[in-house]
Amino acid sequence: MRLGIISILLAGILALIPCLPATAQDSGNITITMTGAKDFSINLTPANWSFGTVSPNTEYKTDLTQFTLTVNPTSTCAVNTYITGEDAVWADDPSGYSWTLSSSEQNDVGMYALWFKVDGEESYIPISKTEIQFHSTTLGPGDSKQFGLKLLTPQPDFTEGATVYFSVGSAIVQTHITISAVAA
Amino acid sequence: MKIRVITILLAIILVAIAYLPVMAEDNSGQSTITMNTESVMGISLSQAEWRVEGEKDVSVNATYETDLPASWCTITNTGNTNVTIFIKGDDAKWVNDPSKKWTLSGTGDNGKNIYALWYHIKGDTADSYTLVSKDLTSMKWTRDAERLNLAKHADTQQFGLKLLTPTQFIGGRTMEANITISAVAA
Repeated sequence: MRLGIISILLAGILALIPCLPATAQDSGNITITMTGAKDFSINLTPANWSFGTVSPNTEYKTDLTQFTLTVNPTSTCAVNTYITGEDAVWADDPSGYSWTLSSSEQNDVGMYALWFKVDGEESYIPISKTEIQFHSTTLGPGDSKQFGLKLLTPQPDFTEGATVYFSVGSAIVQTHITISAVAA
Repeated sequence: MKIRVITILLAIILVAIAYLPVMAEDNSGQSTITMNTESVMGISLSQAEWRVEGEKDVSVNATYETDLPASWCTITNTGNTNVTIFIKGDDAKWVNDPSKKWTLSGTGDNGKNIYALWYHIKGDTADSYTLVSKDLTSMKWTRDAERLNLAKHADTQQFGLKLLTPTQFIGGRTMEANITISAVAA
């Protein structure tokens, strides 16, 4: 009787075991799994832009289509974008004269402010040395955004007669804006 | 008979997880922004007069230095243009009759009614002096022959003067000479 019960249980267990590979099957499946890399690149144009000759404590704006950020169409993913700025330095002697990039949208002696505005957006956003989001939504392959800059030059270093000046004359003061992208 | 059935089901499930880390690849673009500044040129001098020996008379063939040999006069860039400083001397003229002169030496040697004048820039090689002539000449450091420049607003340089009186002159005459310090855009 006990032997009979054991036999029945064993038969049941065997029935529950998934089918073992058929010894004479005529086809088979191989599942291949791959994850595509997230490759992308962005392009910012133009690489150089000049505001021309600027006066102290004065605001200047570029056209809102002056700069274009494009996500390369061959990219394989959407990206989040960020923008950052730098102090501006005298091209001939970077350590000799510079303007600090304001973090408060206020200018001062030796301190300038910079903003950007994406074409179609409502307001200018201050650029600082701390990275901030450039565009609120992700940008996909082939997407592009045009934007402009607004510059507020520093307050004057000195006054000669009734005219205000910076400490270096006929000088090129240079800065960079950097837009970086991270895969979304 | 005690039959002992031991069933060992070893199910090894290999889960091949394609664990490819999603590398958030950075990429960036940069634009260089330039701004040009307006210029204005100007310098100022802290001294307008040197009374050699004060109210006393000078002797023949004697050397006199400004009371601060290297920092008697300060040149200040009151504009914002990078300027090179030039200097020009002149004959010393009797104030009562400018036709009576002490000629400014072009060699550094004095003589009868010939005097010599030099400058020394603060920070230059010790005891180094450069002759002042009647030609407009850029002031230079003797240490490296570089021109004296004031690159931007409020930049300063200091100098002192040394004078060698003639070996022979008519005493009692007050002689006056002008030296000109000028700035030229570098």
